[in-house]
Amino acid sequence: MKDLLKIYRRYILTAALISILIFILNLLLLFFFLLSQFGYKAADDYQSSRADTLSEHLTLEQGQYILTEEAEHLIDKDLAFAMLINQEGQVVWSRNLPDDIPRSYSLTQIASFTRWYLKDYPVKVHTRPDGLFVTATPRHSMWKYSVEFKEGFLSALPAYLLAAVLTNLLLIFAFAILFGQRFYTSLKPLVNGIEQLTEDKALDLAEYGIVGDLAGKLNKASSTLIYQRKALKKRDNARTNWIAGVSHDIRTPLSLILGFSDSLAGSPHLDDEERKEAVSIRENSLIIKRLIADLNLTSRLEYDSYPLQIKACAPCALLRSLIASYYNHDLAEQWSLSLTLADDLEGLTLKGDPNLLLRAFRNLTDNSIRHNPKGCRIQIHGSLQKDFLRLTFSDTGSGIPIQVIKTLYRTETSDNSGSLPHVMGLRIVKQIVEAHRGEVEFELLKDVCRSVVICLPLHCPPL
Amino acid sequence: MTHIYECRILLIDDNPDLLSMLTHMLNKEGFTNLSIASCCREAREILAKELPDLIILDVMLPDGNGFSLFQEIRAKADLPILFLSARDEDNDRLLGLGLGADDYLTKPFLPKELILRISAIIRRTYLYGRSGSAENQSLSLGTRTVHLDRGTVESSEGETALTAKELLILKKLYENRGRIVTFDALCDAVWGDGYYTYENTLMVHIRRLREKLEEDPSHPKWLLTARGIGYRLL
Repeated sequence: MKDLLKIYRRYILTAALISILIFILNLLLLFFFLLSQFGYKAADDYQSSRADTLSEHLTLEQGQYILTEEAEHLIDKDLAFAMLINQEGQVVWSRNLPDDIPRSYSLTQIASFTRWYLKDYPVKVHTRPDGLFVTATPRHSMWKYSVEFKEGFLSALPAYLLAAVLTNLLLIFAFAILFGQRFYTSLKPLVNGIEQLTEDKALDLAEYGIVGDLAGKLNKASSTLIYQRKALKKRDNARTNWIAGVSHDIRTPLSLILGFSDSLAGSPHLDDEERKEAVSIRENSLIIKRLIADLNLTSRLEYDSYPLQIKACAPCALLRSLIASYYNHDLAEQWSLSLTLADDLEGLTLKGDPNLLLRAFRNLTDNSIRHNPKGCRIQIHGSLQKDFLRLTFSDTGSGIPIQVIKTLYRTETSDNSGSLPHVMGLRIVKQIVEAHRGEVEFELLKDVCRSVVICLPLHCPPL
Repeated sequence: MTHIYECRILLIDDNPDLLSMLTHMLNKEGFTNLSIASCCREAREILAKELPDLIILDVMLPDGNGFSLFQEIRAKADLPILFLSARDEDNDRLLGLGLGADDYLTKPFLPKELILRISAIIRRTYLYGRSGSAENQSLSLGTRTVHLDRGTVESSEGETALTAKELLILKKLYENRGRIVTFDALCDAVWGDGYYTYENTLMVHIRRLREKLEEDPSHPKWLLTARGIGYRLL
C-alpha cells in the first residue's frame, strides 16, 4: 500500500506541476504578445501613419490645403481615406474619400464616429485649430473596443491578480487531489490483489471501471499461479513420498543384508577371502544405508517437509559430543580429531535443531575420514564473530576438489549431471545451515578447498 | 534374573527372513530364550500364555499397528519394549518413545548395535535394580577399590569418603566406562540445566577424585582426560 500512496503523491505533484508550467507558459506568451504590440506601435510605419502625424503634413497655403507627397504616399498605402472637417462640419479637404461618405456632419454624427466607425470604416481623429483631421483604415481591418475601469478597481488590480493566481493554484491542487483520489481508489483493489498474490491467496477482483481489464488479467494470473503452485506442490510431495516410500521398502531387505553379511564376516566356517567379501558386503550396505538416509533428508529439506525441532542448543556441547562419539566408536589410529573453542563460546546457546546441526557437523568430519583413507588430522575451530558463530572444519588430507564445490552450487539441470561428483553429504550440510539462516563458505587454495566454514547467526531464529 | 542371557525375548515382525536372522543373531550372542510372532494375533496368543522379559516390536504389522499393540501390552504389564521399525521419521520415533518405549531403532541396523541396546535395556531394567545395581557394586581400580554403595575409596592406607558430587561424577563415568564422557554430559548429570557455569568446578572435583583414586594423581592411569572434550574412566 505504501507504493500506491507513493504513486498517488507523485500523480498529484505531477498534475500540479504540469498545470503550473502551462500557466507560466501562458503568462510568458501574453507578455511576449504585448511586447510585440508595443513594438508594432513603436515602429516608424505605425508612427508615420498616425492621424496626428499626418495632420502635421496638411497645411493651409493661400486658401488651399496642401498635403506633402510623403503623407499622400502614406495615406494611399496604409489608409482608406483621410479628410479634414472644419468647425461647421463641412469637409474642407479630403483624399481618397469614397462616395458613400458624407461631405458634411452634424455634431452628433461627429461625436458618434470619432469613437467607433464611419460607415464601417474604423477611424481616428486629430483635433487642430481649423477643424478635425480624420483618417480611416479599410473596412474590417480594425476592431475597436472601448474599455472603462473604475479608479478603485485599477488601484486594486495587483491584489486581484495575485488572488486570481492563488485561486488558480488552489484549484489546480484541489482538482489534482480529487482526480488523484479517484485514481487511488480505482488502483487500490489492484494493489491489494498483487499483495494477495505474493501471499499465495486466490484473487477475485471486480472487473469493471478503468482498471477492469487489468483486474481481469490479474485474476487470470492468480488462477495460473495457484494452479502452478498446486502442481508444483503435488510434484514435490510425490517426489518426497516416492523417496520416502522407496527408502522405507528398502530398509528391511537391507537389514537382512547387513545382518547376514555381519554374521558371515565373523563365521569360522568361511575362509579369509570369503570373510573379506562378507565384510565388503556389510560395508557397502552401510554406505547404502547412509545414502538412503541422506537422500531422504535432502529431499525433505529441499521441499520444506522437514519440521525442525527447534530448541536452545550449545554448539560447544554438540561439538564435544561429536568428537567423543568418534573416539567412543573406535576411530582408527590414522585419523585424529582436535577441537579448539574460543573462551567466549563456552556457555553460548543458539536456537536450532541440535540433531540436524550435529548431522551437518558429522557430515563434514565423515567426509574428511572417507576421502582420506590413509589418515589425516581433522581440526575443528570455533569462534565468535559479532553475532555469528564461526566454525571452521579443516583437515590435513587431500581437501575438496573445486569441481565438487561447483557441483554443489550448480542450479540448472543438464544432461551430463550423471557425470558430476557426488555431493549429497555437502548438500545436506548446506541445506541444514541455510535452514538455520546461516552460510557455508569454502576456503580455496589452488583450486582445492582446505577448510569449510559454517557461520550461524546467534539471534536469528531458523526458517 | 542374574544374567542378561537368561532374558526371555519376544520378537514381533511380519518379515520371516528378518525374524530368522534376528533369532540366529541373538542365539549367537547367547540369548536363547526366544519366541517369535509374525502378527498381532500371534503376539497376543504368546503373551496370553507367558509374559517375556523383553519385546522387540515392529511398527507395521499385517493385522495392526505396533503402537496400538504396544499400548495393549503396557496396559497389562510393564515390560521393556524396543521398537525396531523401517519408519524413520522423527514423528514416528517421538511417538514410540513418547508412548514409553525403552528404545527405538530404525532399519537397517547394525546387529552389534541391536545387541548393545538390548543388553543395556535388560541391565537397566533387571540387573541394576537388584544385586547388580551400580549402588551395590564395587569398582576395582588397581590397588584401590571404590564402594559405590558406601561412597568410599578403599586403599592400603584406609578408607576415604567421596563427596556427593564426586560420587555422581564417578557413577556417570562408570556407566560409560571405557568411553569418553564430555564435560557437558558430566556437568549435566551433576548440576542439571545451566551446567556450563560449572566447568571449572568440575575440574576441581576431578582433581580431588584423582587424589582419591590414583596412585599418582599427576599421572592418572584410571581417570583420563580427553583434552578439550571430557574424561574417560578406564
